[in-house]
Order: sequence, then structure tokens, then C-alpha cells
Amino acid sequence: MKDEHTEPFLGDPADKPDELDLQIIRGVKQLRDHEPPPTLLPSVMLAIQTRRPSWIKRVILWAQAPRSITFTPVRWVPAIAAFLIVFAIAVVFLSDHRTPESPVSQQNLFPIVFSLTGAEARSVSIIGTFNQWNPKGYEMQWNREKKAWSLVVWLPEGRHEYNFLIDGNRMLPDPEALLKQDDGFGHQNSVLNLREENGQTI
Amino acid sequence: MDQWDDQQVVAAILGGDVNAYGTLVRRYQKPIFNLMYRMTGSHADALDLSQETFIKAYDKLRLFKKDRKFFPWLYTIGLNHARNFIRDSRSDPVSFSENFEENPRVSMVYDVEDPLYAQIEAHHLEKALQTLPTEYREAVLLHYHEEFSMEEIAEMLQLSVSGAKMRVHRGLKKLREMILGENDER
Repeated sequence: MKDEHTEPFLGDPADKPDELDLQIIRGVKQLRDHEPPPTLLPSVMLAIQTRRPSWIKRVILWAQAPRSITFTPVRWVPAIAAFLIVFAIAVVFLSDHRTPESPVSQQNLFPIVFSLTGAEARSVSIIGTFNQWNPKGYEMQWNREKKAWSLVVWLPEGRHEYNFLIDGNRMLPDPEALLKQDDGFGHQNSVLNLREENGQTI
Repeated sequence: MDQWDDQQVVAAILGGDVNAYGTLVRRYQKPIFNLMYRMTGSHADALDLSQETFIKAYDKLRLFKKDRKFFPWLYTIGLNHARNFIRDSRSDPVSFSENFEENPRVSMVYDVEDPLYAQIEAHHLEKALQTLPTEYREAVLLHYHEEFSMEEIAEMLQLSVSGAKMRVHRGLKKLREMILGENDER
């Protein structure tokens, strides 16, 4: 502190500090402060360390804090199963809502229903140029109500020759086929000319 | 960190170092506690108000302008907090003039080694200080005891610089009148 505290005296000579003023000033300066209780500092620090920060600060702290991620595959099974179910339902739903005029697939395949009635057989398959006359995977299903063997085969455009294979050992031309052609071995093959605008059912 | 200036400490706190606030509490707990003690005359109230002042300042620290001095800002928060406390408790700021003799707990401790000061009876000065209205008492103490500049006092008491000078000048004048009056009475 300065020895002479004349700063607050505002220019009026009458207000110049005299000896009593200076004694008062020195007295005020030498007043001793009370010591703050030793509990003040720790109580303040405890309060600010344990108080809940604002939500903005909590968000910032959360974003800045490192965290570990635990992956437990078993816990994901229900979610994966649910996803697969939803996916399958979506696929079925979309496939059932195809527009009839549009090609059925990107390969331009068309669903052809082969059907055979009035044949006495234990099993019937469809063989032809589209499966290299191999019946495996082309077994027809018996429909009791219609009393017919039937199978849907996806075929591209073009000319297809085919026959039914009865009980795995006897070939039978399609009685409903509009065209037939000799196979050069004394038998006839059924003929299907498939064009995009046809969409016919056999 | 104790060597850092207030602005550096504040920057550390705002950067996430909560414990750095202890440096500021250590630096200013004495003047804040004495302010509260002068305002309330109660050790317990002064402790509570001091604690609340530091916590309130911590909460507002993001509003503190870095180009300002920290203590005037803290002191303003403390003074307003003490005024609110007095208003809410519907009690007047402490005046010890009536019962100073019977109430030694409010006595200030002083240094009697100064021969000039010894000529003024110490308790008369204390009594006069406590009798001064708060705005004059704080202006006188801030300038002559805490040794703050008029600019800082103006900021703390929310006055112009000339207003702060006037407040200090009048406070000192009132003190003088009180002491002379008491001497005359004796």
C-alpha cells in the first residue's frame, strides 16, 4: 500500500488528507482479517466435484469418453431370426405381387404348367430339351381334386420338345400338345413354341 | 498451478480440470469470508455464504470474460449473494454500534505496533467501520485494506470510476466524523 492515499481526494484543498485521515487509513490497512475456517476449501471442492454437471456437459463428456463394446452372438440370435423372418416375408410378398405382364425374372423365364390327366401311373416326370431328357428334379405332383399330374417348369422363350415319363420307363407324348414331331426313333415328341406374348398353359 | 495467474487457472478449469478451482478458492477465500463476516456478523453464516459464493462462481465460470480480472468478478457475485441473503432473511446488514462492547465475537484483530495507529483507539475505528452503511464500508475496505484500484472498485460495486472515488472519499469522511464525534463525546 502506498504511504500517501490521496487518490480519492477530489481536488478540493479542503479535502486534502490531514494527519487524522492518514491515521485512519493506516488503521484500516492494518486491520487483520479473520482466517477462514479450514473447512471452507474442502467443502467447496467436495461440492463441485460431486455435483451433477449440466446435460450439455454430460453429453460432451459422454462423447469424449472411451468406451468398450461387448458383442455376444447369442444375444443377437432373436434379432437375426426376426430379421430373417421379416426378410423372407418381404420376398414372398414382393414375389406374389409381380405384374403379370412383366417377365418373371431377369432371365426372361416363363412359368409353364405341364399337366397330364387320364394316365394310370405310380409316378410321372417331365423330360425334354430343357433338362437334357433327365427326369431328376422334374417329378410331377398328383392332384387328387383335378385327378391330374402337374408341374410348373420355368422355361425361356423358344422351341422346346418334351414328353412325359411314366413310372420311370415309358415315354408318353403330351396328348394336349398342339404340335408333335418324330424323334427319328419311331416315337413322337411334343413341341412347345414359347414366345413372350403366348403365356400359354399346357 | 499456484504460480499461474487467474486467467490461466480459469482456462484449466474450463478445460475440464475441476481440481484447479482449488487454487482460486485458496487465493480468495480470506477476502470473501471476511466480506461475508462483515455483512452478517455470523461465523456460521459467513462460512455458508462463502461456500455458496464459490460454488455459484464455479457454475457461472463459462460466463466469465477472460479479459477481466477474476477477483472483482467473484467479489461482485459474493456481494450480491450476501445482499440477497440479508433481504431474504429480512435482517438488516450488521451494525455493531449498539452492542460492540457486549459482542466481542465481531471484534476485528488489528496490529497495534504502528505508533500512529495506536493513538486512535482501535475499537473506535472498528465500531465506526461497522456502523458505516455497507456501500461506504465496502468501498473504504476495498481501497485501503484490500488495495484495489478505483477501476476495480467501480466494477465490483457497479459504479463509474468517479462514483467509486466519491464513495471512498465519503466513506472516509464519515469514518472521520464518527471517530471525532466519539472523541468529542469522551
